[in-house]
Parts: sequence; C-alpha cells; structure tokens
Amino acid sequence: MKERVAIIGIGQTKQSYLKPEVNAEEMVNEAVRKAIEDARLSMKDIDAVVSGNIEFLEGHYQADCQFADGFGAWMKPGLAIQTGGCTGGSLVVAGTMLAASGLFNKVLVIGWQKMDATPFTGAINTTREPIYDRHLNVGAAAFLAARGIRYMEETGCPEEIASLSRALVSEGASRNPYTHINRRLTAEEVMKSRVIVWPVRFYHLAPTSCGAAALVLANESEAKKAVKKPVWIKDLVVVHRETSVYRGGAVEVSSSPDAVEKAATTLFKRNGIVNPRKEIDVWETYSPSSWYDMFDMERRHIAEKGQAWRLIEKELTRFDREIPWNPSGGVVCSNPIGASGMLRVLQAALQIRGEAGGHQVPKEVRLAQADAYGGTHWSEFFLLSKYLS
Amino acid sequence: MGKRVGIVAVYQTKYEESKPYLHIHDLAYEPIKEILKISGLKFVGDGTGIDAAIGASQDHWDGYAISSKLYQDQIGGHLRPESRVRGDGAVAVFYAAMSILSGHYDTIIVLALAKESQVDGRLVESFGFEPNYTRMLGLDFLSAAALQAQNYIDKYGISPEQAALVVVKNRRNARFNPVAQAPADIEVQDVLNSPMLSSPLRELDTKPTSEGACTLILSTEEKVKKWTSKPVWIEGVGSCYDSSFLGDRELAEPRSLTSAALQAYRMAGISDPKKEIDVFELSEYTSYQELLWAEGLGLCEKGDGGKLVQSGATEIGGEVPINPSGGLLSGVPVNVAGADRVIEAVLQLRGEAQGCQVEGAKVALAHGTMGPCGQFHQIIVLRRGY
Amino acid sequence: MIERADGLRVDDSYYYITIPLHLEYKWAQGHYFETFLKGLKQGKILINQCPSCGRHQIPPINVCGRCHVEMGEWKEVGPRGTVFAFNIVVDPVYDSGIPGMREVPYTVAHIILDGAPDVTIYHELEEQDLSKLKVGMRVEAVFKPEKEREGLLSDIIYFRTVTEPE
Repeated sequence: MKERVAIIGIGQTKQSYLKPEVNAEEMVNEAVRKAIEDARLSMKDIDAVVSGNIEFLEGHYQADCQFADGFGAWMKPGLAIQTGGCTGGSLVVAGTMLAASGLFNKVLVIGWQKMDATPFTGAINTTREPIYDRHLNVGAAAFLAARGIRYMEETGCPEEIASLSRALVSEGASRNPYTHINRRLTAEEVMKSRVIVWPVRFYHLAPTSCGAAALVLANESEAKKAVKKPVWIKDLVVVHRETSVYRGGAVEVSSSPDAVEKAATTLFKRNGIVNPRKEIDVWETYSPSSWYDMFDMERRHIAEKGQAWRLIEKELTRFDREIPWNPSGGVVCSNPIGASGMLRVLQAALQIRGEAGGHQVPKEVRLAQADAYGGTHWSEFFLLSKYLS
Repeated sequence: MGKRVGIVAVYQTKYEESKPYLHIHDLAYEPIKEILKISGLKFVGDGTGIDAAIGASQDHWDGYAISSKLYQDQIGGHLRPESRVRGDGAVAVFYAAMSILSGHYDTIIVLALAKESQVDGRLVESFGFEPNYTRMLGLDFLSAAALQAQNYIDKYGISPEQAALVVVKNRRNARFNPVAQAPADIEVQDVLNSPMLSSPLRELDTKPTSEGACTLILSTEEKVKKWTSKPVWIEGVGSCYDSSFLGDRELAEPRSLTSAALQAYRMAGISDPKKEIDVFELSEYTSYQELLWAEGLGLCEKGDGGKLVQSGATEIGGEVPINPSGGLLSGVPVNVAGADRVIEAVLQLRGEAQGCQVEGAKVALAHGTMGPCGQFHQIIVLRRGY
Repeated sequence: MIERADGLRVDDSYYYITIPLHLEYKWAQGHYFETFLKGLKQGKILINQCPSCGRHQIPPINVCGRCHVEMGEWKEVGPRGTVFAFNIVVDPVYDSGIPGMREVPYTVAHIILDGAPDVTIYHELEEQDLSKLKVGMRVEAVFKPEKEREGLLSDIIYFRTVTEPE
C-alpha cells in the first residue's frame, strides 16, 4: 500500500527569454518563497529539499550545493536529480517518493533553468555523442523536423495543422501571465514565422526560457491539514528508453515500442481510465513542438493513430473546448528545461484547484494528466486528482 | 524506520588512475553484468526481478549534457523506470531506499561511475563555486579543502604529522583490498615529503585521480531474505546541506555532518556511535577531512581528531575503525565514492572484507559528501541481518 | 533600470558578466567505437548486430539495450543507402567545435544503409536543394581520399545522390 502524497504549495516565477534582473539563486528563491507562502508554511516546516536542472547548460557544478541557501536547503536533507528534459518530472517523482517513504512529511521540490547564461544550441549540442554526431550541430529542431515530415507522409496531415495547433495553445497562453511567449497568435502568423528546419518554424518550437517552479508535497496526514485543498498525486509512471534509439536515429525505422505510449497506457489502465478523451479533464503535456501535438494526442489515446490532426483541425483542443490541451500554453510557449516538466504538474494542479486564472478551463477539473518528456524518449507521467478516492 | 530495506548484492570494478581502454559504456556495463550474475536477477518488472534503476553521475565529469544517456542501454533502461542522482553514489543509495519504502518499487539497481582522468578535475570543481564572486577568486575544491585544513590546524593545533597518519593508515589498509587503486606501504615521512599542492595539503594528503564504477541492488525485507542468506539492512539515513559560501561556515566544525549523523543515529536507535557502530567508511577527500569527519560523527571531542588517529583507535583492530578499505585516499572516483563506502560497509557486515575485515562487525556507517569542504553529507547506517 | 518581482531595482549595466567555461575532454573510445572508427579509416562502415533480436546499432556499442545481451557479430554495410528523413539547417548554429557559428545551409539526413534495414546513420547530404530532396532517394557515402582520413566521422564527407536503374 503506497502512502498517498499531495501538492499543498505552488510557486513559480514569470518565465522569460532573459532574466537579467536576478541571478539563478534569486530566481529560484522567488519560486520557493511563493510555494511556501502558498502552503501557509515557513521554511522550518520543510523536511527535505529536492532540486534539479540541467547543470551542464549553465556550467554550475553541483548547483544544489552552490545555491543551497537560496533554495532553502540550509541545514536540511535533500538531493539533486537530473534527467535532461524530464528533470522536472523526475523531481516530482523523487519528491513523491520521499514524502511517501514515511521519513519526510513535507518535501520542497524545485526545478529551474536559467538559459540566458549560455548560447543555447551550442549548449544543447553537448547532449550529442561527441565523436558520432556532435559535429552535425543540429540541436533539437532537426529531430522534430524529421518527425514532422514522417507524420505528414504517413497520415496526409497538411503542413498548416501544426501552426493551427500552436495558435490554439496561444489562446490559453495569452491568458497565463507567467508563461514566456504569451502572445495570441493566429495560424497564419505562425505559418509566416521563419523556418528553422523545414517544416519546423520559429513558433512551432519550444523557446529558450528562464524560470523556476517550486512545489510543496506532503504525505496524506499532513496534506489533510493543509490550508488549501490538496491536489492528490493519484499515480505516477516512469518509462525510460535505451539511448540507442536515438543514436540510431531519432526517427526509428523498425516498429519499436514507444515510451510515451507505454507510460500513458500503463497510467490509464492502472487507474481504470477507459476513455481518456472523456475522463481526463485537463492535459498538460511536455510536447516540445507543435509538430509533436498530433503524436502526443495519439500516444495518449485521445485519438486513433493518424487521426489526431483532425481534432486540431476542428479546433477541439483549445483550452475552453472539449479537449483542453495545454491550457497554460505548454512547453512551446515556455521552456525553462529543468522546470518545464514540473510546470506541467504545477499547471495541472492549478486547474484542479480552480486557481489557473484566465486560462482556467470552464468545467470542474477532477482528473488531470501531466507529464515530462526528455532524454531519449524518457517519460514521467502523473495523474492528478481533486479527490482522494 | 517502519519497513526495512536491505542490500541484495554489491559489485565494484577495480579502481585505476585511468582506464583509457574503456568507453563509459564499457565501464558501466562491467558492474551491471557482474551484479546480475551474482544476484541471479534480471531486468524484469513483474516482481521477480529489478524494477527500477538509479544512476549517480555528473555531466561535468563526462563532458556530456544528460550524461546518464551514456549507460541507459547498459542499466536496463528499455521501457523501464530509471532516474539519475546528480551527485554522490551514497545519495543514490538513499534515494533507492526511499523509493522502496514509498512502495512504488521493490527492487532497484544503483550504479555509480566516473572517468576522472578524461578532464581536469580541479577545473570541473572550480565550477562548483558561484561564478560572480568565489569562482573568480580562483577557488576549487582542493584550495577550499586547504583553507579548511589550515583553519583546522589553527583552531585545534592539528599537526601535519597527525594528518599524515591518516594517509599511512589508509594506504596500508588498501593493501588488503583487491579493488583498491593505490595500496602502499608508506611512512609519515613519505607524506610530508610529497609535493605541496595547496598548503598545507601535499599530494599524498589528497585523493588521487581515479576511474571505476560500482553497483548495488536494494530490495524490500521480504525479497532480500529470499534472495540472500547474508542480508544487510539499511537502518538509518540522514543528509544535510550547509551554506554554500565558505565564509558562512565554520570550516573546522562540520555541523551539516553532525546533523546528518544525528538523523541516522536516531533512526537506527544508536545513542553512542563510538560503542554501537563497529566500522566506519568515510569519504575523506583529504587526510584532514577524515579527522574532521570523525569529530563531526561524534567519535571524539572537537579538536581531538589528531589524537584519535594517533591513539590507533581508527586502525582495523581499534575501537572505531575508519576506512579499513583504504578510503578515498587510496583512490576511489567521485560519484562512486559514497556508493563504494556503502559497499565496503556491506562487505564488512557480511564478513567478506578479506584482509580489511573488522572482526565481528555488526553495525557499519557509510558516508558520502558533496560540495566544497563537505558542504553536504549523506549518512547510511547498516546492520548485519543474520 | 529594471524592477524585479520583489520590488528591487537593477542597473542594466550590471546585467550580465561573461564568464567563459572551457573544459577539454579526452574521450576513451573502447573496443566498439574503436572498431567503427578504424573501419571508417579503411573506407568501410562497420556495425554490430544483436545476437538475440538481430537488431543493428550505429554507432556500435557493447550491449543491446532491449535484450540486454552483449553485441557480437560485426558486418560491413553501405556505402549505399536510402534517405529515411532529412532536413536543411538554415538557421546559423553555434558549433562548439569551431568554436563559432557554423556556415549554413547544410543538409542532414537519416539514411538506411544497405545491409542494415532497421537502423539509420546520421550524416550530411551533398544535395541542398529542397526540391530535389526526397524521402526514399538513393545516396552513397563519399569518403575522403585515403591519406586524409583520420578515423573520424568526418572521413565520410557526405552522402551524394545516386541514380540507379529501377
């Protein structure tokens, strides 16, 4: 029997391309203070601090130690996690494990990235095998482009759909004051943005962002005492993939099992969810490009294979329609990498609380699915619930 | 601790200054392959095998962002749960234990690895200081540890000879440890004659460059009992961060270590560590640190670390044997350091430590540390379960 | 001046201080990569195959991530192959190897090499005209002259388009 864990405190900074007014420690501290305040606690109530970012992109070695004071970790237990793009998800997993272990009642979880410290593509290139393909210098866009081309070839999806999907999430993003790109965009505007790697255009891609997110997690008995209504982490699933899927090509030639799909299938099956499209009230997914939205809907069983683009075509995925797909704007509107996965969980929790603000979906949110994605198709999936049972 | 977590199996590679013939893939695979053989377990998530994996590594040492990608294939990362602790292996052991206690997983493999010789380690560690102020002053972990050692000398009158005794003890102990990198039959004078690196630290006062990897398999009480006749239980854990600025800390008084130790002692029901713990495996990056850590753990009064080693109490046959394996001064890589301490503790409790064996060891303490001058400490207390 | 979230004001002349981070790594290659790179030096693409599932891996490594068994058989594949996916990089990209901005455009592609239908090699194409690029087109590795080869991926200059009878 697993001890149940809930989110009782939420804090985030405004995410933006540059954050020249603060250093990394100050930026994180803002999110930490907000989360503690939101939970109506003080730092001394926190039993452990879990933190993480992709430290190599900014150059900080052992960043958790370097910024321990600003993180609120002084004289407290804790640990640091780094799993690339899904760091934010891995952090929530670690926080949940600690809170459920019986040893820690309240755990502070911190995800952050300050990307203004580095030339991004040069830095992300260090994620490539140094001898095999680092010299190709393509960054993440090339993988996404290759995927997009394959999708169009296989399903007959027109090129404009990705742009429409981007426009639909911008409806929510424009109402989310914290997100990085909160401009409302039309599909035409997106289509007119410059090509990065055809068919991927500027607005199809996750931007380079700075920002921090913090959550206070508590075990069941503590969560029931919380001032605000707790948001329960009903279940979590972690599915990683071997690296050779990506060394042999981000595009897999042979039909091969999909980590995202496995995570989604496991999560839904384990929790008796038969029709995710109907039963999940909000989706906050780590879709790093508008070209991924179609795949990601299909892998989450919202649509049959090759059919998701038709849902987008009918504009059903807007935050106030049938399938609220990334009402916050998602990763394509804001991507402080180490925080991104956590922001998905955070935004889903705000929706369950009914505190999302302008992008609150117009219905009761009982169940929300949030996830982080990164590395070589690694996934951390969460099912958040308003009610304990 | 309510439920118990135990150790099923352990494996260490031989530690060497450099392993130029091994890619990180190869370095990672050896201890994984061997521990699967030893334990007879497989990467299957149906309850009969290993459910999840946790690695301990750091991008800066690997020159590779998200460097856990370097061992995904090897650690059974195919469609299975995996995570990576960015730091010391003892923390990965702690995280694995928490994951098992949480009820999410039953059995976890922990891998820690580093190839230190591939990059200038002092340069890497200089990035451990925040960039605007302390990094610009040219600090790295060695020069910071030197400040700490000097502070310790000034405050308590510790002598270089006393510190050298730690080196002599550990390097001699390493002669009986088959995986040790640098066993040596040395004298105090050899340490005092070795080149000065950053005063008062001489070459032999510091941990040598090292490469290697190790693995552990942890599981629930029920499964550990089924899978091994020599169970070892994790009885207490504790960890703690201190401030990052050296000036905000009393360098000669490791309060975060004491805090971490007290958490673990309380959990394990230990009131007098000196009497109740039979063997200590500590992460001493410098000779002076072993003395300081002994004080922080409550094995002697503050400032008495020098006398403790002089008395012979920390020898294998002494009252509080410290690093019978040879410790970090005999060459253990970063990241691996803390996990290797846990493994050495397990070997002691199983009576498998060969020439390093502390007779009748029932309770052991393993320690890992991160950050300059021991800013963060992780303690794991283990008990023999048979 | 800029006002922060906490109300403090910051002078823009103190926004950023440039701190270079320069680390040099020497990478141990091990048996598998070494064999692959030595092959390139001889003008061959050598890869290995999983004895259990038959899967190929490029570049070769020591273990099959899916079956968790050691990779065994070596075989020579290519130099011809079929383009599986491609893209033209037009946005200037920072190259940590130069270091500096890399010249654009250039075409990168996933190519299925003859003899290894289940995996792609990731490399550049000579063709840079989008209208002439097609998924499924046939290409061939162009190696540097033997004397200039260094045992690196760059021993293959690029893959050039070849026309084959139907």
